Amino acid sequence: MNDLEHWLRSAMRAVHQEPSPSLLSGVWRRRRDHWRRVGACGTAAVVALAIAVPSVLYSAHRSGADASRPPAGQPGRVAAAPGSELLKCGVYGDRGISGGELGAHWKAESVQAGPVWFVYAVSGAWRSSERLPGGRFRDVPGAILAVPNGTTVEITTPPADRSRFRFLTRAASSGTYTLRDGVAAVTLVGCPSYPVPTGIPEAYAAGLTLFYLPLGYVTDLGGCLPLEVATPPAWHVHWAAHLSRHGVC
Amino acid sequence: MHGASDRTSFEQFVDGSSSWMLTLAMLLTGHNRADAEDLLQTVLERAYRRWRRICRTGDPAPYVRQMLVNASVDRWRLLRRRPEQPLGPDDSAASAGRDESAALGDQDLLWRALAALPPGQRAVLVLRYYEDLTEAQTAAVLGCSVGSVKTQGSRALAKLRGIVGTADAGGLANRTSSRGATHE
Repeated sequence: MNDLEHWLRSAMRAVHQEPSPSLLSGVWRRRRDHWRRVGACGTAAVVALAIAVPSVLYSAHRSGADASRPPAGQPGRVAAAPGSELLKCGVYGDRGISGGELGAHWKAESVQAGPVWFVYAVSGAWRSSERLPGGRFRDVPGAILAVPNGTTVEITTPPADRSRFRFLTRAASSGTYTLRDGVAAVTLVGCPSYPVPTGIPEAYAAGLTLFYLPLGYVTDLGGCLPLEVATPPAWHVHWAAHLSRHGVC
Repeated sequence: MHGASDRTSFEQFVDGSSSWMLTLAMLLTGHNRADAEDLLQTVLERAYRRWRRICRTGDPAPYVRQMLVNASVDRWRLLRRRPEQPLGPDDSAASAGRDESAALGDQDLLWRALAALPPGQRAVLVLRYYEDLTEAQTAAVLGCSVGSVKTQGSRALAKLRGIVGTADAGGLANRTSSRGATHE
C-alpha cells in the first residue's frame, strides 16, 4: 500500500457523519408515499379493467361467428315493449354502457326495484319537473338507470299516469317540453353478461349496464314518481318503485 | 406485510448503523449531505420492503451496503446531465473543532478528490479503503470482474494523485507517516 492509499484510508476513516434525527421519519414518509403510489396505480388498473374488459368481451362477442345471434338468456329478437322506446347496449352511439364510474357508495343513494337501479333517486336526482307557463315543463336531465348485464326490462308508469310522465329521448329546439313529447316507457336491453372479476369497487358498477338519459324526463306527478318494472315476454309488471327525495313520498 | 417485530428490528438496525450508513452514503455521493441523506432514506425504505428476506440471510449490513452502492451509481446515471454542483461549505467540518485543522485539511482534500471522480471509481475506492473489502469482495458488490475493479481502482488513484499532489505539494507523505500509525 503506497502513501496515497494510506492517506486515503486514514482520511476516509476519519470521516464521521451523524444522521439527522428525522432519518427514520423520512423513511416512514417515503414508505407512505410508496403505498400512495401503489394505491393510485392499483386504482388505475382496476378502472382500466372495469372499462376494458366489458368492451373487449363485448367486441369479441359481436365479432364472433354467431354475432347475429342474441346474447345468452335473451329472447331471440329483442323488441321494445308496445309503446316503449328501445334503448340497447352500446358503446358511445347508444345510451347503454356496460360499467362506468359512479360515486363510491352510489347504491346507498339509489332505489332498487327488482333488477333495476334508479341511480341517485334517494339523493334527489329523480325529482319533479319545473312547470313553465303554457303547459310546458323544463326537463329533469341526467337520469341514470342501471340493469344487470344480460337483462331486458321495461320502465313505465302505471296506466293511469302514463300521460303524466314522459321519458325524453330527443331534444327540442326550444329546450322546453310538454307531456305529449317523448315516450311513456323505455325498454332497456342490457349488454351481454360476462364473468365479473371480484374486487372491483362498487363505484365502477361492474356487471351492470348503465343507461344515461341526458334529457331525462318531464312529469307533472309532483315529487313522488311511481315507476314500474316489467319484463318480457309478456311485459308483466313485477316491481314498482316510488321515487322521491330521501325515499319518502 | 410487516409485523411489529420486523419494524422493531429494522429500527434497531437503523439506530445502530445510521452513522456508518450515512458516512458511506456521503463518501459514495462525493460529499453532499443532502444527497447522501436522500439516498440513504430511499435505500432504507426499499430495504424495509424486503426486510424479512434480508434478515433471513443474516447480517443486513452487507445487503444495505450493496443497495447503497448500486443506488449511488444509478442515481448518478440519472442525474449526470445536470450541471456539476460546486462544493459548498461542509456542515460537518463546520461543526468539528477548529483545533483539528490537520484532519479538516485532510477531509477537505478528500472530499475534493472524491467529488472529482466518477461514481464507479469512487465506489471502488470507498469499498476498498473505507469498507476494507478485498478486490474480489469489491467486485462482488459492484457486480463486475476483479480485473475491472483493478482497472477502475488504479485509474481512480492516478486521478487522485494528480488532485492531491497539486493541492498538497508533498505534504501528503509527511501527514500520512505522522498519522498512519493509528490506522495501520
